[in-house]
Amino acid sequence: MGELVIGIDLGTTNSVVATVQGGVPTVIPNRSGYRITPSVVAMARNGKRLVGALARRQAVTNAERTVVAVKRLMGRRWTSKALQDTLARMPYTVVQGPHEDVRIVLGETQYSPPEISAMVLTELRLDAEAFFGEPVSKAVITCPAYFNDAQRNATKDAGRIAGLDVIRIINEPTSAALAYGFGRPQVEKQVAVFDLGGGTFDFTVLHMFKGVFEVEATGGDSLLGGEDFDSCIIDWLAEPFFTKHGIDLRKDKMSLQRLRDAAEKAKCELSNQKSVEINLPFISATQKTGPLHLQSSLTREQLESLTAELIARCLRVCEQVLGEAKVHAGALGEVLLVGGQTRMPKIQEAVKSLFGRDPSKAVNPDEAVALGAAIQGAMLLHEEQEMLLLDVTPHSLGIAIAGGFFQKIIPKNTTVPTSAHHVFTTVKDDQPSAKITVLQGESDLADDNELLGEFMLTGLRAAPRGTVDIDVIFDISADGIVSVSALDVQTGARQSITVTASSGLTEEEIQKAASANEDWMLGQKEDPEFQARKTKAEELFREFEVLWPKLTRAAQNGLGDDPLQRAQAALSVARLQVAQKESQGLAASIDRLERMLGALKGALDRGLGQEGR
Amino acid sequence: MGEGGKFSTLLLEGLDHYRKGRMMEAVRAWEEAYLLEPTNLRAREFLRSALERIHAHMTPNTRAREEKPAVDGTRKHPWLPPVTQPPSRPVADPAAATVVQKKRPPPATGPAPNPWDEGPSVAIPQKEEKNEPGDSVGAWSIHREPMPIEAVAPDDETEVWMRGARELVGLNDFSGALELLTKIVERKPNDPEALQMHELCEHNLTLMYESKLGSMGSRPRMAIPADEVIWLNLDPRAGFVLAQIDGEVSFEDLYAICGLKRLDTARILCQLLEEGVVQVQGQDRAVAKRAMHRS
Repeated sequence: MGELVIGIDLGTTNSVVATVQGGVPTVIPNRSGYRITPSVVAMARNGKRLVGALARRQAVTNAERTVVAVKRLMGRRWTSKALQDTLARMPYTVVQGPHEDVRIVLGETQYSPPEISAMVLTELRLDAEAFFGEPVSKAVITCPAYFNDAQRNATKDAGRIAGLDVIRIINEPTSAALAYGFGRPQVEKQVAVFDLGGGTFDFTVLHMFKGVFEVEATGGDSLLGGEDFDSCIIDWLAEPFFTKHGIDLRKDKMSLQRLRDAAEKAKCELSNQKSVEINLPFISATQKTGPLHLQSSLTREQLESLTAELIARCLRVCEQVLGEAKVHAGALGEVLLVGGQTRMPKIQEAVKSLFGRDPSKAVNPDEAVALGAAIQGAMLLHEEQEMLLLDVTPHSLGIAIAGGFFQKIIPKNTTVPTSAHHVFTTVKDDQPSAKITVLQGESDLADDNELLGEFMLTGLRAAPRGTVDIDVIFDISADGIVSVSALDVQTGARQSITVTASSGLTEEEIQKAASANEDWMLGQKEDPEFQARKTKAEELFREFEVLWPKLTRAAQNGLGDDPLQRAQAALSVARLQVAQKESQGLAASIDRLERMLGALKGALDRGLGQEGR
Repeated sequence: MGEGGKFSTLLLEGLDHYRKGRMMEAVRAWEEAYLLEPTNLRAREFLRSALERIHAHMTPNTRAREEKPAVDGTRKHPWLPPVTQPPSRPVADPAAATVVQKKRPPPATGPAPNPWDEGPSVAIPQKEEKNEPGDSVGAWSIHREPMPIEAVAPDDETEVWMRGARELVGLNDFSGALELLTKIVERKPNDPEALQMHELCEHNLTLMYESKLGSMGSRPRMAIPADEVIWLNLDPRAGFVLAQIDGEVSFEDLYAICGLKRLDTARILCQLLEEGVVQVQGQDRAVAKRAMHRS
């Protein structure tokens, strides 16, 4: 088998890993057999690291130690307004990091967002390795089209920590279009990607032409997703219960977790059937009435009515993006549905009514992005005919100017590579230098936008204000690298900066995290035979521990100390063998401990050493 | 129900009575259990504990009454006290009225810590009972009569509890000890001995339950149809734990995802297994029940 490469859709809520096998893009199921892995990481109360479905299942009951939607924190600065808006919705603790970045508090340890994301990626890597039966190191990872440089770098760093060589970061809608375009090389179409995932909604318009994928416009609502649909069902279930029994199930963690699980299940089932029964026995109890059960029936029509506003919000975003791209909805050649929530029939109807055509069924909504990434990975690795992926700037770029305002130099949705410049001037007489603060965002106020970097242009000639011309030039390369230079037009003095957006981690921190992750992985890869022996030995340890007080008494009453001392020695040896992973030695110790346990139990059963006998 | 099941039920019933102070009923249940499985040490040990407690707490009058020859004049075991028919109505003890009644600690509001108690999770249906002193209803009211002991100050009371806890730990009755220790810790949250013993009891109880569950890697699954769950007697926490059991998650994972204390999760799982509500994959109910009786 040649070098392996995987494509990863690292989603806000769920992640998928795929590969191309024998020329066919294929999703890799996880080790539990599911094709989707929740992007959730938790530190359970017993100290166990949980990733995926298990972490998600305890997300409500262990909310403060469960990290959901870490993608929203990737590459964010602590001072960023977007971050502060996001933090209000996070149930776990986020603190300021040492480099003006953010850190997530999990138990006693603080983790950077890339480290948490790396835990999800590690899980996917292990799934892939279990699938292939050999190590995997190369990956293409997707990110939203609106991710800035820092967010993309953070994603790359997460990959590195997970032990992956991230050979490319590609935009999610582009990836979905790649999956759609696979096997259709000659197709020329303007395609819209309607991506309604678990936590975010993105809408993108692309132009596909003979292997060239050009993003023309993108937009979205980062706080709208499938979980909001679940919440509507939860409210619908909880409110009548509250009215009837005076108990708000949403305020009890266990009840809420059950409601959330049931709501999601009901929502999924309603995509295929007209009504579902929701039964949650023993969901609560009162002193007066005893156990309380929640039993309800939800129809598809009711769900559609409950979520009508959410669907309308999606459509408003689409209209806005189409307006910005100056594209008429009816002119689109295809609408691709991405994200599990788009399986909802009402959403498909709404899309049809907006675009005047049925959405494409050519791609699997859950898998298209990962499959596209796998296709891109295979092309890069095997030097097949590479498709050209042209992106746009998802945000406007510019600099801060006097008065605290923001001057855009490159507007959003400009296809990269691109270059633009703007001439500024001094604001004070004999001003010796000018500070160039590079920002991205859409607000007219500098403070509301994201800081990318800053530098000083010094050595300006002494002159009255407004007479020194400073030409600020922005360049964005095909790789999305932003370079900014400032030139004193009269003297030719020039200063420049390449915006090397940091994920928030230093190189040393990345190396350290990668090494810690590798150690953790080694622990996970214990040989199954040893694992079975370890489990058996631990059972025996428990049995001995339970029996020990009786044995101690028995020792004082005739059994004697010798059997206990021998058992103690055997237990110590076995414990050491577990710690040192000595599989063969442990097998022998297990036999010995079993024999000893049988003999000691027999002695106790015969009443040997019992008081008064 | 097979012999094993009956034995287990009797053991549980006895423990429930024991915890609630109904010593004679406990003795009766454990005696029956003992006769079913004479080699079982647990039944024998429990029986002896109950009898010791009866003797320790009997007032002179009661002791005198109980020391009369039994109606049938038989003793089932050499160390068993003469069994008498309890009086049909409680006999008021004049001595008891003159001393301050040491109130029985109120029933714990949290989960019952005894591994074989009904607890709040999976309950063995119990008759409702009143715990007020002087309750004259019930043939066995002798065991709920006020125990005439000296009045004690609150701090001394914790000392009494602590002595009781030590005794119970000595008897391997960690659940009974835990109940007392919980009360002590409520009053004296920084008492190092109480905290240490509390932890020890929790640890031991957890181990006891886990030894009954078997391998922590086993994946339990529902053993009854989903629509029959409603007919069980569960509390919301047990309902929650049960809702997480799908045949795909292991016991160890259940500890992680349930978010309860390990002891509480272990107890609920143990009782669900024992009630036959769940079973372990690859292990039929009989095997599971045998596992319950191991120890």
